[in-house]
Amino acid sequence: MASELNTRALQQVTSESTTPALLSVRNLNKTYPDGTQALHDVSLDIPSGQLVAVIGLSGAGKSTFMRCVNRLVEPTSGQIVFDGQDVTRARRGDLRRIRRQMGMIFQQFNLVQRLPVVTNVLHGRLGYTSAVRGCLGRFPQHEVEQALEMLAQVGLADQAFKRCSELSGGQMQRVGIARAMMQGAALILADEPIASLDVSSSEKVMTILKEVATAQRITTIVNLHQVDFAQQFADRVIGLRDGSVFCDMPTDGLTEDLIRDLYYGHVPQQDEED
Amino acid sequence: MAVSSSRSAVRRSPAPTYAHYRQYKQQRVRRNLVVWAVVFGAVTWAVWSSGFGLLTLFNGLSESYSFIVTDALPPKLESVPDYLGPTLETLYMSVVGLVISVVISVPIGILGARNTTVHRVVSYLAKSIAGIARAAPSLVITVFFVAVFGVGPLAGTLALGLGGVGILGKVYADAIEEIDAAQIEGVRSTGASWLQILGQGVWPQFKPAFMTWTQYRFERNVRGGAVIGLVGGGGLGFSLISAINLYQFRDAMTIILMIFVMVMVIELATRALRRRAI
Amino acid sequence: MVQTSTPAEVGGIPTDPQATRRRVTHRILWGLAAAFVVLSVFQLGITPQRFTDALPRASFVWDRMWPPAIDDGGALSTAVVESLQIAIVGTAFGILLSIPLALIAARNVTPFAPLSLAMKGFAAFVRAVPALIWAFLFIMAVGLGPTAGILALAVNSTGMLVKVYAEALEEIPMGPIEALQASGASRSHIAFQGILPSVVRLFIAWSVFRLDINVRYSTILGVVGAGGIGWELTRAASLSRYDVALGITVVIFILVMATEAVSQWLRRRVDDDTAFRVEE
Ligand SMILES: Nc1ncnc2c1ncn2[C@@H]1O[C@H](COP(=O)(O)OP(=O)(O)OP(=O)(O)O)[C@@H](O)[C@H]1O
Ligand SMILES: [Mg+2]
Repeated sequence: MASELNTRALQQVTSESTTPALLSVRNLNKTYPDGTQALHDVSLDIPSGQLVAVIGLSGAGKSTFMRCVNRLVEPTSGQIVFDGQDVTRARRGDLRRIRRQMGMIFQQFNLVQRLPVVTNVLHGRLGYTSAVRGCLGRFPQHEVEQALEMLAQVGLADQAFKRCSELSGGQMQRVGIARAMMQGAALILADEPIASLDVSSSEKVMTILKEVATAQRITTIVNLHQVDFAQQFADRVIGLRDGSVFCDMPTDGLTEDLIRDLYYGHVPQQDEED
Repeated sequence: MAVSSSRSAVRRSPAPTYAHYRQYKQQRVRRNLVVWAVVFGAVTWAVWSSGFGLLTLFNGLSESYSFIVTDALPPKLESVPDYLGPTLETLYMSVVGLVISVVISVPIGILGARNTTVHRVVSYLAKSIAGIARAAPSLVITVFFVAVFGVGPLAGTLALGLGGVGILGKVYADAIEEIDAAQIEGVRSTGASWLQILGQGVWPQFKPAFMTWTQYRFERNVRGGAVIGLVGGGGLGFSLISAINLYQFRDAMTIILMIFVMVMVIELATRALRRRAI
Repeated sequence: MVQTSTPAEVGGIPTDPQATRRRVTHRILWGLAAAFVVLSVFQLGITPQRFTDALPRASFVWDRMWPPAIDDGGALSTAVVESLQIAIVGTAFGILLSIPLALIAARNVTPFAPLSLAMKGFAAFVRAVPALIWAFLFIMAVGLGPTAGILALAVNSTGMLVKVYAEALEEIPMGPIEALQASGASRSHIAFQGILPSVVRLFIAWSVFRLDINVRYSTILGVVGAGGIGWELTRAASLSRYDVALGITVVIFILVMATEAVSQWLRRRVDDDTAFRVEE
């Protein structure tokens, strides 16, 4: 664990000067077994500490891209290098080690409803926990304290011992963030974290994500449907269209024309014709 | 980090600490300890005092397997026609038993449901009758009916009928209680009589539950009708016990298979009919 | 009036030929059902005369039934205890057998898809054979006594529990499991921290429900000789000691109702999660 932290510290120092990307994706392709080609030759470099918004039409491949990064979806071809490690080639044990350095946040929160909030946050440590302790849910004191601290950071300290099913959607998503932060991850992947939330909860959640990204220099990739939220919070916006990178630029560079093109300039592709 | 400061201004309870976490964990363990102690104690007592362990289980299963393979298989298919009569008899028993159950249970359900009863006391009485009928297994009732009517399908039919009242009376009453009161009010406001209210306001809403539970009970009756003969209630069960008393195990196996087939066919048929008839 | 969908009815008269046809089939089916009931009554030879003929016999039985009596208290309490043993042990082993089989039967957990179907078919077969018939099979194989009863209940419980456990497993939300996977949790972690908490309540509720059913069965298994209080009941009836039979019936009542109370307590216990309050 210590060595991991060291490499990250090193990464942060060096990133200033030489900017080696924390995540580097090369020629990523994904074709689902039913023949849907969801990603076409996607290549990207994302340095440390950036908050990147990925936008695009429904079906553009945003979720697929994100899931390829931690291999919840197996890429068909291409290479993903994360923090110097080849994700695409990692075997089971290595993949576990890589995955625990990437936190993930889901549209449907994906908490274990029956368990209390604090346990769900502690689940973020399972990647570091031995089989027996993890199965029994016995976490060391410093991790419990850290989890309670994380909950305080997302404003849910007083909910720690409630069952997750008793929380509101916005609260659940903040638990999801606390769980991801608990991993001490260098990268957070958030797949439409606010799509099921109302405006004020959405703002809360995005504010927290933004502060995590800036204050702790955790790289964050967020799939978003709302362009205005992307413009408000992200440092950089990547537009996906039909599985390819349509545009990739700092948030300021995003023009009305580009957005219109991305969303409405949609030329039917062959997969919709046949 | 400063995220929390602005958000957590209104905090009712103090921030939880590790001590609270321990306390929480211990409370959960203590709560569950009682239950698990009871369960564990009961199982240990029962297993220990009955002398029935895993070994007995597997021995018993393997003995039964070899018994079935050597003594009871293959089933005597040539005697299937002999048992068609008892099979039909089982069906007749199930059907008539069901009619008896429904005829008794509908009034019990109506009088038992709080929203359609004529008086609270009547509701209580009706529910008690259903409760008692529910606590008496059909086979126990059969024993008494056999004493009165003698061995044969009549005793079995009546026992099935009475046994069904326990379940149907209760679920009918429950289903009627769940009916939307506004619709009944609507019918009542037109000046309808009690019977008209039942027909126009209650029945349309009650019908789906009625069909589901009545069908369920019919399937139970077919199974029950097959075993009720074991204590003298007629039907396939009676043939089964006769075959076993004569050590005709292959006949017994034939009957068991016929019971199985009958149960499956009836279940498929009622489901198909239900889709058609509603 | 604007009719939007299929049921085209004007003034209550169906104009849609399909609806008319459905109505006709409907009537025919009900007619056939009624005819079958009448046929059944005839075939069973149920006539008013049989009831009037049975009246003297009924009053004889009735007179001898009251007051309910306990003949041999020692034997009866042994039988009650035996019934409880049969129910508890049968349920325990039923659960023990069902959990691994359900893991095979559940579509989303099974190691091999065709095996899942086979296991479900097997469970359906076991369920379709009534518990008392199982008792009979086991009596033939291992002889009279509680062992046959326990085996029957264990096997019969398996038929039901495999089905409901597998259904509970199939309804597990996949999201949280994916989330644990994404955080680097191992398979055993996911099983215990993701799957187990989602199903444990349903498993317990069904198991307790099955215990209820098994206690009922355990009181009647004796009727065919598989141990327990049922045997005392048939014996009393065959000796025309209807007062004793009634006494035993009352004991069975109490047993069944007491189990219901206990299982309700257990189920409430599982359902209710008293909130934990953080205090200074
Ligand atoms: N498991 C799957 N099997 C087959 N095709 C899939 C699968 N998952 C996604 N797809 C297809 O891949 C394409 C990209 O889907 P993806 O979920 O990545 O899009 P998205 O941009 O996340 O859309 P949304 O905004 O609706 O979430 C779509 O055409 C989708 O139908
Ligand atoms: Mg998506």
